[in-house]
Amino acid sequence: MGEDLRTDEGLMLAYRDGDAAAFEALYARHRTRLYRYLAHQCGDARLAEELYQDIWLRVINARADYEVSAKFSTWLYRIAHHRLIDHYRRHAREKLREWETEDESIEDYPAPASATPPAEVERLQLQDRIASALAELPAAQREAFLMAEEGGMTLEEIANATGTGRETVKSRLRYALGKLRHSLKDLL
Amino acid sequence: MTEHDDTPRDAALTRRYREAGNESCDQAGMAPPPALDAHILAAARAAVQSSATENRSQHARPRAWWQRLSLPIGVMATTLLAVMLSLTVQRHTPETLEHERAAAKVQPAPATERAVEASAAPAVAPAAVPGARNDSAQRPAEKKAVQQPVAPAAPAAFPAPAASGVPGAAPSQTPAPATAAPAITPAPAASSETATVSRLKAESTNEARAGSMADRAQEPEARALQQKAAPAAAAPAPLGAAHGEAVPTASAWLEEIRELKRQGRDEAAARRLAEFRKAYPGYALPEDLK
Repeated sequence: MGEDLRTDEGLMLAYRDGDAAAFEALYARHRTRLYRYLAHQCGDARLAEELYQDIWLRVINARADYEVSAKFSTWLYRIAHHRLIDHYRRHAREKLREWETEDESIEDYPAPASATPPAEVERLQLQDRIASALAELPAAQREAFLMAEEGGMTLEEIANATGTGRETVKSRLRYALGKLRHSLKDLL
Repeated sequence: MTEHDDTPRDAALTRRYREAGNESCDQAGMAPPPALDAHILAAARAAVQSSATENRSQHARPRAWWQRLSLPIGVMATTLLAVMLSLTVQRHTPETLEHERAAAKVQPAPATERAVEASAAPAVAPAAVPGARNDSAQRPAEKKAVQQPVAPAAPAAFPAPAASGVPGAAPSQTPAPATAAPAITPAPAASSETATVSRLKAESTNEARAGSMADRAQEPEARALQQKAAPAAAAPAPLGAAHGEAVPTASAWLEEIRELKRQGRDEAAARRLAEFRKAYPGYALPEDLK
């Protein structure tokens, strides 16, 4: 697939107007990032696939009414955010509670690899360390971190996508970074 | 991300995260499976195709007959309505209405005419009919007068207006106009009727004119009614309506004078002519009456 120089928004507008190739270019840009975001958020590959497909189908179905009101990535991750919330509402009450109550104690987070049981330290590789560190974050903080890393979004864009205030997002992101640094300090 | 962005970042953490992410993508399946990609892309293409097909079918599908005919029918109905309206308005111009009114007034006249001729009597004044009367009110009086042509003492059909203009004066029995008291105008209503009859003879072809003249004849009568209601305030009437009398139109009056002349009643004709001159001082008399 050749590199398309159009912006995400331009590609989506072209797709709205019937250009199927524009969607392919757009999809290629965001597929891995969105999938990683979902995989980290829900911690279940099968569920991540299901949500991933559903999110893209929503994008496809919304094409007729698409207007550029924000960055495409903001719009896409907003859909993903709502889809995750919906899922947790239906299936995992405790997960949803986790979204709503943030545990701010840094001591509750995974200790450096040196402090974990030896059997587990051996088993984990780099990606597993990061994945587990992310998994231990409160959902809202993890989401803020993933949106910033995977979506390349600013504070405003994350706030827009998650329906929260800019300062809240900033605080969440700070906490997330602090906790991850604490968890992965032997790797940094 | 941007220079002005104050998003908290940790460069080392980001680097390690991306390394781990790429690794995990490659090794731990942190990317959507190809089948899922294919399914989503197929759905995207199908959506575009279906909307294109839908658009095409919308353009290609023939519209229902009523949808196709709605515009021409609407235009036709509007045009028809406009034409009918303009015809109706044209038909009811003031001239046409006057025409119709005149025709309605003239219609019963032949019977009256016949009756007048049959009576072979001179112009009879049944009584001075109070001021404003319309033609329909005049007609019964006319008939009565025609039925009792030679009964000078017959009671008047309507109370005659008093010579002094006082309302409610005793009803007068007005015989023939020639001997009528000077205070009372000699039967203008009857004269008017006679004039109408004569006019029918003379102007039977000019209905519109007759209608307008009839209208004009009513004006002094209406004025007379007003004066009757307020006699003290009665203004000097150049047309002889000062005393609440109905004055015939000039042409009717002249016709009456001609009729008198034809009957050989020159004296009465002269008197009527003098009265006419008084009532219409500026009127140019026709040659035959000079």
